[in-house]
Amino acid sequence: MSDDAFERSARRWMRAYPLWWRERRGGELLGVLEELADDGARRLDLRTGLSLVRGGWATRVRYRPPWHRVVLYRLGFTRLPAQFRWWAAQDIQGRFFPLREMTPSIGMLGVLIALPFMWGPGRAQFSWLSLLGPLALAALSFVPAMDRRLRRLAWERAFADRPSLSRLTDRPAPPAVPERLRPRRRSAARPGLARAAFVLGLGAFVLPVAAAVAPQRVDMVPCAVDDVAWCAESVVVAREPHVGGALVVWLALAVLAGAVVGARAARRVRRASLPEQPFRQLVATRVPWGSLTATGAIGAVALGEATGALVQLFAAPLAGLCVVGLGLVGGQLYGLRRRGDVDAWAGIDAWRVATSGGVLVDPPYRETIVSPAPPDPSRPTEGPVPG
Amino acid sequence: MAIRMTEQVYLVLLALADHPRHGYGVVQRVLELSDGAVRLSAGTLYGVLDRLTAAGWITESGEEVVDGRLRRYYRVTDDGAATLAAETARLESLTRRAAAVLRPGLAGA
Repeated sequence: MSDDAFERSARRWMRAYPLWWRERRGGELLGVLEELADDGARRLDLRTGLSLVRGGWATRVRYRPPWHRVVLYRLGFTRLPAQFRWWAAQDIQGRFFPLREMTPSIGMLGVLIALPFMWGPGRAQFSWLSLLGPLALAALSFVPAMDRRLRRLAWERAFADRPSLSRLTDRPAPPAVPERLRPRRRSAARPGLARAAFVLGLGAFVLPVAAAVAPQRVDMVPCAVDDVAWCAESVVVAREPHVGGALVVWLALAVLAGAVVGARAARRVRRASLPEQPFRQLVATRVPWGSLTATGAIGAVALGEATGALVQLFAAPLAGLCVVGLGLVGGQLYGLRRRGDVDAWAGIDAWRVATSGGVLVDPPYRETIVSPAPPDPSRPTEGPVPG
Repeated sequence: MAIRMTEQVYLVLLALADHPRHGYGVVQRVLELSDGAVRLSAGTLYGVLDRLTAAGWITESGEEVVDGRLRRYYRVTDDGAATLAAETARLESLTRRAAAVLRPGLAGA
């Protein structure tokens, strides 16, 4: 059996189980899967994989707190009972936690915005622009500083007696399983930044052109209701014969903002001290799916809005964002070039230094040993089973 | 935690009744006890083991590493053994009644 290929395949299917479950029983389950598989199997068969998906999701449902407790916990009214502490800890440390945490706020804002469209005096015509508020709130949750703050506050709220976010000391002590320390793989900074600069540069060039030549655009006008002063609706208007002054002002502001954030990023990167990273391995991205997707999206928006296939709505705002982003990425690249140790930087380092000033030191990634390893006298070995 | 005594749950309890077994050992024993009729998948097995552990009917009994693979052993607790005995008695009683119902028919065949 090709252990590595089979293990990778099995671990992919095992992701259906919650992280805490995999930490506790992943090695054991992997051992059973290897024993059940045919000799020489390089991947888990589909039937077994689907059984893991079903079992994993059943486990998630079984150990998830009741929904009413989750709602109260999410709103900050109550703590979860002790038996759900693992769930809460991994929820707070999991991906997209800030977005989950802000879901009630985003939902309430959405309801407030939707009310005038449904029941207001002289109901307003629905405008997609009204979604900008909730979307901005959602986007805010991805700002690193906001992310850290939300996680810290949630941790203190959930475990007031255990304020350290870095340790899960309240989980039951796991049984001793053989482990090895593996370095954390991070994407190298230079290729990622170069690709980001290309994509943002493309956007900063083609999107303003598309916004300028778009045959029609969205505009906001007062509602056609006499007695309602606060009501506005979106309408489609034809392009003016000249480039809009608002577009020029918007781009000028974006260039100014890009220059400011770029200069600050360059200064921060130039002055940052890079700590030793004994548990890190820098790797190059095999296929840059993110860059390819972003390039495709920018191309589609530019082409669609320039030809009139789409109403001009996104090209102008995106153009400004691309200009600011280009300044930020350019500042990082310039700062790294001045330092001369660009090959030692991970993309996450450059991003964190440029946006918050701190470098993340990766802890070792603990991995359960399931492949043959040298005998360790302190670990259980073959022999009688303890009763 | 309430747990429904399905055939799979009963067979896993039965597989652990005589002595502790690890996951793969349970799968093999269940296959043997059911005369090849029940082949537990890994997902099903660990769902049952999780529920039985939570119900207090089985408990972890030790672990070892064989050929580089981690094996965790499980054994039946006193509660589990009592439940298994009660379920077996119920099945025996059911079998006797079923046999009594079928006997006239069988005799006539």
